[in-house]
Amino acid sequence: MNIFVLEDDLLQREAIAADLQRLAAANHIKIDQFTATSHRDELLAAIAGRDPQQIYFLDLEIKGVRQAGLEVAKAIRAKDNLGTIVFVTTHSEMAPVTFKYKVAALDFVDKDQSEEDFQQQLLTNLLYVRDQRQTVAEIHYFYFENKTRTVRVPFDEILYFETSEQAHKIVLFTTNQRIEFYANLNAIVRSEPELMLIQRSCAVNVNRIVSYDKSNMKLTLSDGTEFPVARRKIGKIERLLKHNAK
Amino acid sequence: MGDVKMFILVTIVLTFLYWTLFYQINKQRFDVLAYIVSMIIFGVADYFWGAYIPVLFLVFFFGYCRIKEGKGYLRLSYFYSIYIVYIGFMLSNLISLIFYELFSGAFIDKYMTVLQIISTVAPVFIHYLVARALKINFTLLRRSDPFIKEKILKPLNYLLTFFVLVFFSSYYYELTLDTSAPITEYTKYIMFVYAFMFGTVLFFISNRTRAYLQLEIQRAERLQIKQLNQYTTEIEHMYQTLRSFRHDYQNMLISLQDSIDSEDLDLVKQTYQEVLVKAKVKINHHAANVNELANVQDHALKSVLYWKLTEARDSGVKTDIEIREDIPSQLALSTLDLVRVLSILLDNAIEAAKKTANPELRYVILCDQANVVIIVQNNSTEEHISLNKIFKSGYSTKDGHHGLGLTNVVEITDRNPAVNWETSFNNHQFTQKLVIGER
Repeated sequence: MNIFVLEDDLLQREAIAADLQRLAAANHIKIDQFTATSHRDELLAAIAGRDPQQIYFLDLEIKGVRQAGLEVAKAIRAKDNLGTIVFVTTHSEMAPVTFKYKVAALDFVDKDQSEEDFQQQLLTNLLYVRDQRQTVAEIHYFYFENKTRTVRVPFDEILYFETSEQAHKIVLFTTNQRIEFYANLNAIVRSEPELMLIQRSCAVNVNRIVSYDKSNMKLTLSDGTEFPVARRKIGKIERLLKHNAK
Repeated sequence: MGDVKMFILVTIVLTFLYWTLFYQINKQRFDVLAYIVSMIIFGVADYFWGAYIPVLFLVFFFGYCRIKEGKGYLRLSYFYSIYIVYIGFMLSNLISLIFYELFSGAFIDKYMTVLQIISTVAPVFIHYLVARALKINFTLLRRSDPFIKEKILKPLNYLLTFFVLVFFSSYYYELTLDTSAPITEYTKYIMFVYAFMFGTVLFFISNRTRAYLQLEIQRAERLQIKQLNQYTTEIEHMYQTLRSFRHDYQNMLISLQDSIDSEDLDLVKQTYQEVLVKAKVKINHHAANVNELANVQDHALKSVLYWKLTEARDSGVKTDIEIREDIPSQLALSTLDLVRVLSILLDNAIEAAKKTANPELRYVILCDQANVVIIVQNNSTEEHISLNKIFKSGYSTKDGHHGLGLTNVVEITDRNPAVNWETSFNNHQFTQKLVIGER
């Protein structure tokens, strides 16, 4: 694991560096690289590349500049979009959702909390990174981009796409999300072999089909949603289900 | 054979007329299936009961709207069906009467087909042009506002029913006369009445929808002033608290000074703890983060955010606000739409959070490049929320009320292509996210 610490206060930097090294040793986490600094450029120079086994502890306020840490986090994200970013800050500076949205920050460690809670929170973050397997690259993402919008969702979570009342608008349902975007349903189906058009207005993720009722021409997805199937798509679905059964 | 072709052509054109008018006022996705079905029904009906086809159209479209629009849209469905039948039928009648006025009988006989088709297609263009000239926004009528229902649709339906009765009775009266040669004076009179009725209906709609928009603005302004007053009061109150806190703090520092002077380390420690603890309690207690609202430039938006914050706090929902950047007031979404969307999302979030043991609400506005991102998050008792269900019109879960008003949000985001909307549910957290693009 590579650990990076950005903190301008010398005493605090020494303290958190010592804490992290002690916690790592106690939990058999091997540290390959440890960088603790007060300079953003020094920190950025130390990053070798993108790696899920990298964790950054950033002070939010650096040298009196409020939210300077956010700028550093953005620069880190440009070099490493897989690593984990944690802000170490005082309560009043915290804006969890904003930072999660902007730099995908994982956590916020409050400097004002008790020493015990502080240590515990550092450890939780270290363990989180330790358990990150290098699987990120292996996940198949559904990716869509147009002028105003990018949609990126793990393909496995996709249930179905349907056209909306509004022309050219598509609504995507996943196991826990609903996303609207402007696109062409047919083009989407063409780009993903595991999507199948079952009606003019609806395409399902074939891996999510749990049952097919032949007599009523109805198809059920893993979340229980039922869809009528267009007559001319029946042959295709039956072939596919037979194929999957084998 | 020629007659059959002719007959089919007229049926297709006639059906096209009604569907196009329907589309002009309804702005819904074109339904091919319904189009074909209606064509067959009308073809058959036209063949057997030619003259009574307008009544059939009325029944068909009413039935169609009832199925499509669902519960609670009785008036709207009735309006759609009677309006298109009335406008379509009356305008084509008016145009044929004009033809009879302008051309000789021989000319009309010779070009019967062409004239018939022109008189069927022309209403689409006439209606479109007149509606445009009067700047009528038919989609406003879809809103479920009492003013629209009671003050627009209701009188409009009465008016239309009356006109349709007048029109049909004169039309069928003419049919019973069975005179192929029209009486000039009578026709002129009828033409005038038709044109007058057409004008009245459209003028009424145009006038009333404008009045509705005016009313919307007035309502919003009144509400906004009320909210701003409350906001000012709260800020003043905060300032007072801050002052009294500063006063306390000074006193505590003085006592700290005293204990330091006494050189009793335990006393110093105790006083320090007291100061610190008390300060923290006060600050955190007042971290009801009203001050975050200062970053919102738009007063209407600020007032609705403040109003919902108060509502949440009053009903015991712990509310966190994160607005760290200046939020521009010029957005791709009109203030009115933005306020409507946010009130709905926040209401839903508060309602759902209230059902939990520790109700929590968080709303966040941030700028990301040229976009403004709004996030509304609440905790929920539900294990699993079926997102496709709550977006169905009229649906709301038993415990929370996430389905409430979502169809209105759908309507607004549909109208505004620069708005991207995402909903998600994870670990008992329900999140609504709107990304609003550049204007």
